[in-house]
Amino acid sequence: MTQFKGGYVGKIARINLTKSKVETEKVKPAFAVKYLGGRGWCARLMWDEIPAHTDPLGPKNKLIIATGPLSGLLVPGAGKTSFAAISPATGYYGDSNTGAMFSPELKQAGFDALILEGKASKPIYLWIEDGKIELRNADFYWGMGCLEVEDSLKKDLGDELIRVASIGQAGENLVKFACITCDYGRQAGRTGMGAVMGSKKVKAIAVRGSLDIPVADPEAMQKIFEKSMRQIVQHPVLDIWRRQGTMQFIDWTQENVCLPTRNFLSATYEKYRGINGDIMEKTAKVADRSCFACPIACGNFCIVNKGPHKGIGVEGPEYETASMIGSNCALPKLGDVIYANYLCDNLGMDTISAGNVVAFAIECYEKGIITKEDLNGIELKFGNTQAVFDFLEMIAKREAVGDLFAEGVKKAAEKLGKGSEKFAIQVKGLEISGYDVRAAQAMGLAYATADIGAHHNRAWAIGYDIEVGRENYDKKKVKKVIDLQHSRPLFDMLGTCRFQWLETGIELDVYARFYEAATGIKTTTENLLRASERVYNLARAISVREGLTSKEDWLPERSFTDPVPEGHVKGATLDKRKFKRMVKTYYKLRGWDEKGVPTQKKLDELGLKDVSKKLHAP
Amino acid sequence: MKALSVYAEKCCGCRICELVCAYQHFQRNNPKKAAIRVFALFPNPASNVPVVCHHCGVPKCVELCPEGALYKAEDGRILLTAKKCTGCLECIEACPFTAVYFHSDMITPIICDLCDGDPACVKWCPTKALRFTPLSAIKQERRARLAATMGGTS
Ligand code: SF4
Ligand code: SF4
Repeated sequence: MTQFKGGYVGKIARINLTKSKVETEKVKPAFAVKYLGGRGWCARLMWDEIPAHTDPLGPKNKLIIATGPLSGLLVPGAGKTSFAAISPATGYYGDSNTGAMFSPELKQAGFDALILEGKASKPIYLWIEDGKIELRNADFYWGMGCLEVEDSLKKDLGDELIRVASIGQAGENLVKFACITCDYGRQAGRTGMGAVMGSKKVKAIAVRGSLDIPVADPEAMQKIFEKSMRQIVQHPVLDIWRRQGTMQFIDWTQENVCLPTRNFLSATYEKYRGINGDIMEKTAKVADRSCFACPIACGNFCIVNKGPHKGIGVEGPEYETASMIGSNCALPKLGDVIYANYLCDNLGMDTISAGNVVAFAIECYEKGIITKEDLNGIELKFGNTQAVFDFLEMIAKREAVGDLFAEGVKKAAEKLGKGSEKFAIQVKGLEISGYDVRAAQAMGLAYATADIGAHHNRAWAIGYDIEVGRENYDKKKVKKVIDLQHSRPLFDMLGTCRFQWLETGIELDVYARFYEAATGIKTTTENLLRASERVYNLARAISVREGLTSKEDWLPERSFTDPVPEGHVKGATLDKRKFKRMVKTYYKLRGWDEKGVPTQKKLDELGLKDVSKKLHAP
Repeated sequence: MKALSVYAEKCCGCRICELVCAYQHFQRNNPKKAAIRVFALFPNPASNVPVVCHHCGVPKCVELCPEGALYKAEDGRILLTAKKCTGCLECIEACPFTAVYFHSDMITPIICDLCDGDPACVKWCPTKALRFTPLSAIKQERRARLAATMGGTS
């Protein structure tokens, strides 16, 4: 088998929290190359190591943290880390990734990946430095917010440049959409990875590394980097990306009538100018924030400039936050969004799910399904900013009815009943992110079939819907979704950001060249995409093993029944019959059976014979 | 004579400067082997600050190096005679910016040598936070900005 000469550090640390034991394992080249890294490694390790029907918050679940072969290297945007486990939000395969500086530091500390297994008996944090890992008492930090614990650890360890991944109160309290925060505000937000970390009583992971990351051909690396950099810095979209990052999309979704507003009832927001990129740039942004080696720097550091929270700063908001907490909860002003963003970041909750959950709770309250008493007396209405802030804290601390909503909209609706299931905007238990799909069939399909539940990042197909027609359910759209579900998550495997490819035109092929220069292993774009397809199928196999059925490749009732109330797609809903057909076509094109299970043939073809044997065992 | 200058307010904290510096001098993928380090200080203050050698006119590091290993070259650069250096760390104490770096793989300090006149960090800094300009024009952009605010008519 081909040996790698770089890219990978070559080591995985297995940290048994129950026994307080750390072991270092060598990375097998065949495994490394076949699953590439990041979420690919996570998926394979999950399939091999986590038994079927595992309680996501029990000791048998594992939290796997994996960098990619390009993380920390001379590649524009090489800062991604994947966090994966069976998700407490869905009960199925879950992963989430974050940018910033954590993965370069972890690799420089000598590890490609960490496997956290078992459960500590009392709060701990991990201190990782140059090949060594210590489990340290974290009693003192337990109870702190993410931003506070990061700050405290940096002070206590005496180095402002250590990198920290931490959970807040939400993770400690096992809120199903708790996130993991890195570098003052970059999150592995989705699928409740913070709750998994909390269930294991791991408050934080602090890292400092000074080792070389091996690279097979540094000269080639430099050449490819320089060429890509020239292209990126000259690209016409760079300016707006650096100024506004993803916040530029508020205007775009408003214009295209797909900006989720008031729990996805409307698709435009009358006050969108109060929360968009322009107002951010003019009134709130004080600094750029960038991930490792990224010239785009899409991150915005913003400060509340008026009112009782004046001076509070946060990395963000970005589009998903501004839409899900802004328009979707009808907050009128950017300052409110920034403060809500800060609360979520510090409490350690995914802003996407949190915004969705709050909007759902508001609709429940306005419909009389929950009462003011349930809410400790707060008037939880659309646009009532103070109530939104209070309710976010109630969720994170599981106070009053916040305890129920901390379970996410799906489980909350199951308990509440009274028709609330119809407006619980989720798929498989994961709350839908910032795009209305009633006139966007491909995006709808992307949400319905994404491997972690409703998430925009797997296949951001809404651009394609807008390009080819908002009423069409054809096969081309299905194909597009599948293609995107392979190309986009490939970046989560390589450990680098996708924006340089998507927005500034760096070709996929360039990443194959980077991979070769880093590892010394020949590859092609097809090979890489194949690996991504392999991992997509493997993630599906994990979820099927946990009990996923095709019934859950579906969308919330609102998408089919409540027409878009305004704008140029006014009146639009998705057609159930046609959408069903799309899902069927999707299975077929993927080589899955009519129940949505990857066929033996497909799995074998992808080199997953052992998986197919187990999955299809009689 | 040209000198390096920093516009910290433009810096996005990407650390490309660190990484290209390490490639240039050591052919290593190791941003800790660089003569520049970027401090992303958040939330308070909110700023990205690259810390790099100023090649001072009257260099304290040179003055306080007990071995005479550091010197100011004719072209203005601070250079190291490696074989004289004992790795005593005095230079790091002496430097008012702490812009001298050490790494456990080597005894001698990592000090900016301006890449023989074409600094890699300046070349690849995507935000132009780092500049390499003639001393007579150093910080001209900031000067111009301030001058504009002092203008009479508008
Ligand atoms: S584009 Fe944004 S998310 Fe991607 S690497 Fe750059 S700063 Fe990070
Ligand atoms: S390369 Fe430029 S923008 Fe990036 S960290 Fe260095 S000085 Fe800042």
